[in-house]
Amino acid sequence: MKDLLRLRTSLSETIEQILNEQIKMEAEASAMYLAMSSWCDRNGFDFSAGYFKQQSDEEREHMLRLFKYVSDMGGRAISPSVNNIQIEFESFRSVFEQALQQEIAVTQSFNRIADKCQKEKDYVTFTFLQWFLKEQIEEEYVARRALELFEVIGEEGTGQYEIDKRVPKIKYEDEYEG
Amino acid sequence: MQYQQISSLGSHLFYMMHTAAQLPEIYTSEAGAVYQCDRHNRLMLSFAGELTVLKLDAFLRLKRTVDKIDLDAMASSPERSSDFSIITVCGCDRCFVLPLTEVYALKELLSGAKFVLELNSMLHECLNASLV
Repeated sequence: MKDLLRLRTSLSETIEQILNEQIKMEAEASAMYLAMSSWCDRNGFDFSAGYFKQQSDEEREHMLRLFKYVSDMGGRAISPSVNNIQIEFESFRSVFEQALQQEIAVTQSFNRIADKCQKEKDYVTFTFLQWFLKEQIEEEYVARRALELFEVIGEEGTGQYEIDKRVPKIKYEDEYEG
Repeated sequence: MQYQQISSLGSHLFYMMHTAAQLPEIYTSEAGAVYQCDRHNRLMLSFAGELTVLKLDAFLRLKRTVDKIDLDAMASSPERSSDFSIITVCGCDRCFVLPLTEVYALKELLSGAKFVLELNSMLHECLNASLV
């Protein structure tokens, strides 16, 4: 008797489901960054608006990368619905705090998926996830550095203006240079 | 099985002719049976006197839909509309209108069939592994 389940897709039902949940999470993150960009734009934080727009594009790329993988493996990739995205934020600083929290949540989610892949012995998906796990090092680094600018520069006087200017210049170097 | 109950007669007739004689039976319960056709990669659901030919995708969709039906809510609700569940899924040309007992029976049948499909998958993997 043929193995119809395996012929259909090499993804187990569980892995397909959690990957689709991650697709949704990336879509929501993209929408959230766009909302942050909009808030920054209308509050005069021009550089940060551009930075968050770029982050939004990156999250969408992540979503599409996952989407393609599920499809390529014969799975059912689901285009997610994104609702109730926050519009207003308390302060300039709180935007960056939320951005960091979001990145932490994404990292934790990828860790859980990697764990699940190991438990299910799905090493193909596990290998595919390595790119995302590595990417999260950079994502969290940049979000954390941005938030640290509020401590380093301070918000008084022209502080917020300086922070805004410095945000897009944050770069992650993955090689140690002594 | 009754021929007149079958919607698209051509393809179904082919399956029907092969059902009992050649197709492997995946799972049987008092309410019906699920067969697998290896030639066409289809599953055949025989339930409540009717035969439904399904692709695996549609079978899994049907199972998910049936699993989501809250039997407790059906049983406890005094609404007349709760006496029956209407089940339609994409890729399945049959519309199921079932009372609680039949929903339960269908749920059990589909779960049993899904279990055997998974078991078959594991056996394939084990057999492949033993060759390495």
